Amino acid sequence: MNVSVAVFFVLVLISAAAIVYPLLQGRRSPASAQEVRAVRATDEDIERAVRDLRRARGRSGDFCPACGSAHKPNDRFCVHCGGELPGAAPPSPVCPACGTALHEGDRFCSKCGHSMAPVEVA
Amino acid sequence: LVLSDIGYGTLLLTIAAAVWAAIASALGGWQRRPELLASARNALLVTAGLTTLSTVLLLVLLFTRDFEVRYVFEHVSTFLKPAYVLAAFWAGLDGSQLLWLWMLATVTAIIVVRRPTWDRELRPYAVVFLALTQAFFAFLLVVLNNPFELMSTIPIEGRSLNPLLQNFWMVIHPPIIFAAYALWTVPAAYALAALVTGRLDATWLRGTRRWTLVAWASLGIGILVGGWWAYLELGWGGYWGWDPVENSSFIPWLVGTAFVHSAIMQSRRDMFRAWNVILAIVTYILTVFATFVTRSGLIQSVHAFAQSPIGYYYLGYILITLAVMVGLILARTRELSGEGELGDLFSREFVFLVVNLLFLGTAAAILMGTLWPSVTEAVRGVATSLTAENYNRFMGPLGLLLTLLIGVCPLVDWRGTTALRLLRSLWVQLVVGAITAVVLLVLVRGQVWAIVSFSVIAFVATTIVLQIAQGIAARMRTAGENVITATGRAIANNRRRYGGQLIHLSILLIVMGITASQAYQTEVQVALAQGETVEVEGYTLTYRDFTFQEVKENGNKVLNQAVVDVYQGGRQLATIRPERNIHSNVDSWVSEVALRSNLREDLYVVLASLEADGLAAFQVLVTPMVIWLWIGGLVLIAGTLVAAWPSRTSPRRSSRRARGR
Repeated sequence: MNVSVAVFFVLVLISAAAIVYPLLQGRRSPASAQEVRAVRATDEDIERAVRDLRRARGRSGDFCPACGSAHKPNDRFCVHCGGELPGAAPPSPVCPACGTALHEGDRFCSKCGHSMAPVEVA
Repeated sequence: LVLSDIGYGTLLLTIAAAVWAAIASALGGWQRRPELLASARNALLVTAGLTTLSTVLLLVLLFTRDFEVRYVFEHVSTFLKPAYVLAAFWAGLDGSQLLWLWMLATVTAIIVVRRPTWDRELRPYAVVFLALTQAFFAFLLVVLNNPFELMSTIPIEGRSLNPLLQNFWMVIHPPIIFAAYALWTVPAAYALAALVTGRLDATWLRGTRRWTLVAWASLGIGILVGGWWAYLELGWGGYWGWDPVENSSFIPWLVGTAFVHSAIMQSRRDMFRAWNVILAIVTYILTVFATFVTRSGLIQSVHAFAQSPIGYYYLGYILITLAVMVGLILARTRELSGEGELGDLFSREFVFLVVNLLFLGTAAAILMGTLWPSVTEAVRGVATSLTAENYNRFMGPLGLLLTLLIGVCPLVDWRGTTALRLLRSLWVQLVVGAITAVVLLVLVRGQVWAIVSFSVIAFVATTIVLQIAQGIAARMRTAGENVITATGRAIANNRRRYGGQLIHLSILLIVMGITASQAYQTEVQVALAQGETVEVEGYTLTYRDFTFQEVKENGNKVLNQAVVDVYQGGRQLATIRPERNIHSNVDSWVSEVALRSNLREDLYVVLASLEADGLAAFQVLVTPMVIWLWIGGLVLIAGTLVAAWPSRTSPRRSSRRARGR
């Protein structure tokens, strides 16, 4: 009985130490924790600002309005998020098998190798 | 005595640590306090360690046969083989509950130990759900089914394991199922986190994709292994009986399958946001519901375990989770509307929706069937359950339709195609399917539905093979590679696609095995005196000898064994020994089936009775192509590995590509 109480006590100590240690560390240097928070906040602010900028420019056709990634002119779908891109005036064809945008004269899909000719029997 | 006390203590501590982890993680996520998140992480590493310790302790108690512990007394004996002592760990309610908790804690530890990347926002809330679930499971163990409970006396011998469970597949079946249940918690937790944070784009889906795939495959494999065990051990020649317990693990698999497919739709086309959140959570909830069905005694079943109030705790947990889900969904209706549109009738999007609805409809139908006895009991006072026949009548057509769509779906273009174009890309498959049907009609005959089924399988297989061949042929032509290099590179470059194809092939193999074994099974029941012979489907069985023998080790049983020589075409194939034994720890007879499998068919011999003078009754079944079910299972594992194996280079490469453009 005493052995099990002792073992239990040790387990409690180890668990408590593991749980409390990060809290003490955080409290001992409150400035640094605050700094971390501040930095993280600014980090996010910057990301958001960049996204907003890109989204604004997205209307002019350089960036995806959904995720803000750059895209090539005439791309119909965003290479990053798969979202549809606005203003890609001539609707370029899409691979029927995987949905990747095709370019003029493609006979096979660059992504999955799907043949654009009607199915042939080998 | 000491060990069981410590075991109980670890469970108590697990509750405390898990509850703290949930609080700290919620606060840390909400107020953006990294030190709280770090504390929650450590608390969950602590629960992983503690549950590992209690698992090890129970194993030690089982292997040292410490019969003072009730669970040990009830499930092992001094003569039980070591492998089955392991099986005894998860043979009972208490042990399997501990196994589940341990697996959940391990899964959680794997999540929190890694540096947050895509889930920096989501993880704190996902962790809250995982931690609360751990606390709930540990609470059940402490309050209701403590595996470390002691008895007032110390028996000298244990009751040993139910002989039906003494089978290799029963050693591995429960861990696979519970691993699947624990893994399904992850997508559900992240779905809830996505709802809480409002980040309902495809990020959570992409991040949990691998967890989902492995969870899905484990559940499927667990179900197959369970069927294989039933086939070997229950002695009625079938592998699936639409038993409530079987159904209750099949239902989450169906809903999970719908989820896997609609997740693709959201990643590709930003559709079905609300669907995906609901499907991920409901799949997990259904795994808990399966345990509720198994453990509550709600539905009488062949392998219904003892009734226990634990069922109502599960029900409470289920209802609370569902209520939280519904509440969050109502609060997030704006974020839940994606941008994709359904497109027209002949679009990939639409077919996916149909597939989804079919899976859910099937799941709902089986759920209704499973609950039917309870409904009729409540309404009419008499519980009537559905027969396997009833289930087959609607599951056959639904299953075939779903199989057919595997073959049609890849040919339907995204955003729409015309009927003419679809037909043009389908005609090869249609011809192959039709030829198959004609050949079968002429050569094999049999039931119409089986012929339809084989022709559908041929149709779908042709689609898959053509698709794979096109990809490889394109590489060979454009890059000038030989067949092997082209195949390897094509797969390596698009593992999701080819992994999916392999998984679809595995489903075809399984459907093939089911069709053949259901439609073309031959059963003969025969009574033979020693030396007599029976012919079944080209096999000649000669009943040569019998034995009665008391066996002390491994189960303490009286062995009743018949010795049967099997001939085919005048050549002796084998000598088989079907058994029908009496075990000291159960009241009924337990058959050990004699089985000879090959790729073509299974010869399955059950000793139905054996008189003292040697007169024996046999049940002989010849079932074609059963083995293809299990081969299908192996292909399913292979396909999942291809699709889900982590690649070290691809994330970096793809992000560089994204930046370059």
